[in-house]
Amino acid sequence: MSANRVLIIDDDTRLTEMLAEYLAPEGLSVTAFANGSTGLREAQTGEYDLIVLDVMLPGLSGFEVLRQLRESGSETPVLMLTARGDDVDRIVGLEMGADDYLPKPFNPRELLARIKAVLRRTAEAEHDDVIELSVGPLRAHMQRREVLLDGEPLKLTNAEFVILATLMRAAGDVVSRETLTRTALGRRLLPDDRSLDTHISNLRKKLGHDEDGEGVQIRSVRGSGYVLVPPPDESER
Amino acid sequence: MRLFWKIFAAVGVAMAATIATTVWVSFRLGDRAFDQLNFEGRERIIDEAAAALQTGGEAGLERWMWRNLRPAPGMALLVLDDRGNELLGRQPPRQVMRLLRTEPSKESRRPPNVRPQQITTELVGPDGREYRLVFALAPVTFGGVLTWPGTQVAVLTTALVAAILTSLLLARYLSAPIVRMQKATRALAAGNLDTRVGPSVRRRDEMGRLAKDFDAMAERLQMLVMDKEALLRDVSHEFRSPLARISVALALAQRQAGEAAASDLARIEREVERLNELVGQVMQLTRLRTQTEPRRVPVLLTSIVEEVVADARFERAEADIRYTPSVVPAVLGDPSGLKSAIENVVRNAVAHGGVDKPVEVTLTGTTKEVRIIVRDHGAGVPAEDVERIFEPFFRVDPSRDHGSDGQGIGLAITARVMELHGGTATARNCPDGGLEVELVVPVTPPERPKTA
Repeated sequence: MSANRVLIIDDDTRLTEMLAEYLAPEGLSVTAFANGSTGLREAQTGEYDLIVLDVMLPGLSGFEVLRQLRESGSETPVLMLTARGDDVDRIVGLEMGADDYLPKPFNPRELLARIKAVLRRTAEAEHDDVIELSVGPLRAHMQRREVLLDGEPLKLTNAEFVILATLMRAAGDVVSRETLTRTALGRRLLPDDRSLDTHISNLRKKLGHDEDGEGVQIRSVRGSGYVLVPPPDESER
Repeated sequence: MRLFWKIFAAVGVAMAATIATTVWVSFRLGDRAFDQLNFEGRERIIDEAAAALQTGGEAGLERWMWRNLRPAPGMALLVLDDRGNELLGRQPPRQVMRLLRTEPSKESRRPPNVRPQQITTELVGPDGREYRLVFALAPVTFGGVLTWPGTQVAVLTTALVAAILTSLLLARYLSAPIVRMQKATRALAAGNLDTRVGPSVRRRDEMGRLAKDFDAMAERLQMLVMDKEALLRDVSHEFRSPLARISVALALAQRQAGEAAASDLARIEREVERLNELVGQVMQLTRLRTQTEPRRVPVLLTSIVEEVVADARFERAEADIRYTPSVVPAVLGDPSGLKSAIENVVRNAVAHGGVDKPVEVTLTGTTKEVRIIVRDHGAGVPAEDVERIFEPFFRVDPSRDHGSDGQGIGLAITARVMELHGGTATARNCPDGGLEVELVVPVTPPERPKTA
C-alpha cells in the first residue's frame, strides 16, 4: 500500500515539521509549504491525495488558494484549518468547496481522524457500484460525480455531492445527522459540529430550495435528521 | 464669543428694541393727537354747535351733542358750562381740565403740540351764558389702536414678531447643543463608544468647549475599552500558534511515552483543550463585539435547542436535562451565533446546577418572539450579582470557584448575540432555589438607528 500524499499549506513551519513527524507513522507522507502562492502551484500539480490548508497565510490567503485551485479544475479534497471562534471562515471555506474544516488550534488526533475520513470517502466513491440515481428532476451520475437538475448540471463540491447522493439513495426516508456525517464526511458526529449543516444549507441554495414547497427539497426533521423530498406532483404521477 | 456675552447681548438688544418701540409709539400717539385736534370739518362742527345753541338754547345744544358724540374717529366732544360742569354729565379727562386751568405764564410746561385754543372754543348762548366746546381724545383702547390705519399697527406687529423671533432663536441656540450632547451622552452610556458630538456643536463658546471636552472624554473612554479588548484579542491570537504546536508536540510525546506518563499527558491534553476553547471564545466574543448586525437567515430555534440538548446529553451522560418543546415561528438571525448563545446557557446550567439535579429547558413562542428558559436547581447567584453573570470573566465567588473553567466568557457571548438580534438575556434566582436564565429573540429584527 503506497502512502497517501498530503500537502500542508501553513506558514507555521515549526508546526508543519512536527505534523509531518506525527502523520508519517499513519501512512501519510507530508509535504509542507509556508506560502500561499507556492503552495497553490504545488497543489495544482495534482500529485496529492489531500490538501490541508490554513486560512491565514502570508501572500495569498487560504480562501484565495482554495478558489484558484477549484477554478483550475482540481478536485483534490481540501481540509481547511479555520480560526477558532470564527464561524464565518468555516461557512466561507465550505461554500468555496472545502471538504471539511477544523478549528485551529486543534488536537492532532482529530486532524488525523478527519484526514483519514476524507481519504476514505474519496476512495469509497471511486468504488461505488451504483452508476446512476434519479429522484424527481434530479439525476446523479456516481462515477462522473455529476448531478443534473432538470437536465442542467449542478456545480457541487465533493462533500455536497456525497451528501446529496446519500440523501437520494434514501429519498423519502429520514437520514440521521450521525449517519450523514459518517457516510458523507467519513467521520463521527461531534458535539458542536456544524460541517454537515453548512453543507446542507449550501446544497439547498444550489437546489433552489424555497419555502413554498416547489421542486426538490431537503427538509430538516425533528430529532436531528434530514430527508430528501421529491416534488409532490412527481410522486403522485 | 463667550456664551455669557451672547445671552447678555441678546437679552439687552431685545429689551432695548422693546423700549425704543414703546417710546416711538407714544411719540406717534402725541402726533396723532395733534392731527386729530386739527381734523377737517372742525370749523363746521363748531358752527353747527353754535347754531344749535342759538336756536334751542342749552337744551338744543344737548340734543345736538347726543347726535355728535364722536365728531371724528378717536375724538370725543364735550361742552362745559361756566361752572365747569359737562352738559351731558361726563367727567372730562384730567389733562383737558389741567390745560384749561393753565396760566399763560406756565405755557412752556404744556405739551408742545396742544394748546387750549386748539381744543376749546367759546360759545355764547342766547341768554349770554358762556360754554366751552372741548375736543378731547377718546380713550385709547387696544382694539382702537388696532383699527388705526397706518404705521402703528405695523410697528406693533414688528415689535411682537421681533420679540418672539429673538427669544425663539436664543432659546434654540441655547437648547439645541444641550439636546445634542444629551443624546450623545445617552449613546455613549449605551455602549456606542464611537459617539462624538464634535461636528454638530462647532462653536467657540462654553458650549463648544463642553462639546470638545465631551469628545475628548469619549475618545479616552473608547481607547481604554479598546485597549482592553485589543489586548485580550491579541493575546488570544498570539496564543494560537504556540497552542497548536504544544498540541502536536504533546501528541508526539504521547506516542513515545510509556504507560507511566500516559495519565499525566492526558491531563495536559485536557488542559490544552480548555485553553483552546477559551481562546476560541475570546476570539468569538471580540468578533461579536465589533459586529453591528448579525447574519439574517430564517432559523428554526426548535431544531437548534434540540441539537443543543442532544449535545449536552452527549457531553455529560449523567446530566438530567428535561426539555419541554413547543412549536415556535422561525426567527431571522445567525444560526451559529444563536446556537452558541443557547449552548452556553445550557452548559452553564449543567455545570453549576449541582450533581443529580435536573436542568429544565423550556421553549415557548408567540408570533412576535421566541423564549428559551433554562432553569437549574443549583445554588443560584447572590442577588446583587444576578445581572453581572453576563459580564466576561465574571465569577460569582472568586475564592470558591477556582475549579470551574471555560464559563468565564460563555454568558457574555450569549448576551452579545442576543443584543445583536435585538433580543434580551436575563437571569433571576428562583424563589425555591436555582437560577433561571431567559433568552428572548424577536421574530422580526427590530428597526435600528443608522447611527450605531
